[in-house]
Amino acid sequence: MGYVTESVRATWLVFRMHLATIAGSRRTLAGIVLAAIPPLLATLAARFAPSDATGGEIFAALGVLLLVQFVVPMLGVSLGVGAIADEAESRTITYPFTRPIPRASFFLGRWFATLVNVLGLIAASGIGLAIASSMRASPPDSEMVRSVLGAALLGGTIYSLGAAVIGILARRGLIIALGYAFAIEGLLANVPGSTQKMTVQYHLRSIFVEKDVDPWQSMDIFELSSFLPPTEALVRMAVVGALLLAFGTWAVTRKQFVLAS
Amino acid sequence: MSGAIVEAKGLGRWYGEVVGLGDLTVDVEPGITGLVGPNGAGKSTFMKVMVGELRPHRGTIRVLGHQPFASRGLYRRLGFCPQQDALYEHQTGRTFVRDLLRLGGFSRSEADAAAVRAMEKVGLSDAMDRRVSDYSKGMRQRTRLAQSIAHDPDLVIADEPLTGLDPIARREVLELFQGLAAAGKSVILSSHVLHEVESLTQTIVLIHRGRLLAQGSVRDVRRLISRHPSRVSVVAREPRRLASALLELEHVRAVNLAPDDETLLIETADVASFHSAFAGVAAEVRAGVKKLQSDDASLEAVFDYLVG
Repeated sequence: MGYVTESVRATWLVFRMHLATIAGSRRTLAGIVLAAIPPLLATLAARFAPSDATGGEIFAALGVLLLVQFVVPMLGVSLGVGAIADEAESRTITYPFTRPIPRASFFLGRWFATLVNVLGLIAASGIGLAIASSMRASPPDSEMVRSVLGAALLGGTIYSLGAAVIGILARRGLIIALGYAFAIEGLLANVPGSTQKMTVQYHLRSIFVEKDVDPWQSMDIFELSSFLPPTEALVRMAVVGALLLAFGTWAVTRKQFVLAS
Repeated sequence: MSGAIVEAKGLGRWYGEVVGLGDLTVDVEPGITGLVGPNGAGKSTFMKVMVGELRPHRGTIRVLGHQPFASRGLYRRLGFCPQQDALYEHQTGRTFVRDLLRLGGFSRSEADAAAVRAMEKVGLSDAMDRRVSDYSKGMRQRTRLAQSIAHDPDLVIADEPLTGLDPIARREVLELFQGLAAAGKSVILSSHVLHEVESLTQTIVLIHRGRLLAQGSVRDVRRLISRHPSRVSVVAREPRRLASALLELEHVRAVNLAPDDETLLIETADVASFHSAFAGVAAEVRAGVKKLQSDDASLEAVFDYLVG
């Protein structure tokens, strides 16, 4: 069996073996609670918001401020960081690392399994948000739902990948990754200027915000921002993702995990 | 090319300022080898370097001809039973072993059959379909052992494999290792419970503070440490009188009276001469010897001398 075939087989096996484990982990259970918040708040908003607020506006506000800016990084980071770090912490990493598989396959398999969970939760959260918002008049159009949901899924991919890499490198990966996602990105993404372009949030917003169209044009936080064309934002995120993936596979191959006996 | 399965030269490995391995140079030959030393001696660090979990900071190591760190070639021929009590808790013993075999390239049916065989070998065939989270400590230990032998490796490295086992399970595991050796496989196991290793093999590697203290059979090690005194204990009715007489002998280095006030702990540089002279001396002073015991063949004694 060639190296590539072996790697693909090993990645698939690791993915299959760990998918259910990750789905049943405490992190994922906490993620389910988190993912339920946007639909829940949208339901409340649909019932109690002022009568001039449309379903589209509720979806846009909660989609940006809650789903994309909070739930997506939170889910991506908290689940992603455990892709390798959980195995090291539970000290079970010894077993796959003394098997004749490329260590990169173990990273990829675990991250893919994590990603399926992250994306599943984000999709459920986004769809729930759209359904709840549609209880109001002038519901969000399907194009808006698609673009927000697409950006959220892309964000989940990038955040979880970045956090997985941090989880390989750092012992307190969760704190570092959350610190980056909320302290650094949270600041840079919401301060007008070119530093916005260094954030994942900026690129996600570039995918779905159309400044000349309602409800986006009525949202103050976008007033001073100029966004990239969606395709360019997508390409940039794809490049960042590829670099993170390459770095993660390299790092996991080199990394020594010192496990307590 | 030497026939050693492990060749380590000047190995050093640190954890910050703590020395795991100092300057370890050792060749391990095929067969069963006991890696012994007190807690903190560096046994587990050496094992982690041997299986490629850690890289040495200094020196070189080859295991079955491979540099171990992330060596897929080595892992096809190596089984490792780690010390840490970690398993995938949601799995049954059988699926745990089977899934790891699948990672080793086994097909589903091959892996299942090999997992069942391995669980039988470690005496867990009745419990193999229960979740490992329900296992006792000894069963968990045997499950770790099962995954290390399931793929029929040429070399099994087991870190404290007898810890947590009841006497019957301990005997079964010792027999398992003997069976592996009889089938031409090699086993390196660590322990700080010396008589367990001694009952399994005469080939030992003694390490302490990350360095090799001695290597070979218990007898060889005894020869190597001839500068250390042999220890003999004597229980007598008149221990003080006997002690005075024994101290007159040229080869007796020290005589200590134990707290029970009738046992003498004697250290001699020449145990054969001591035994020749002892009967005459004891009779002369009418010591009333009740018991005489030489610890010369005991690994425990060798170890105590070396590290004590």
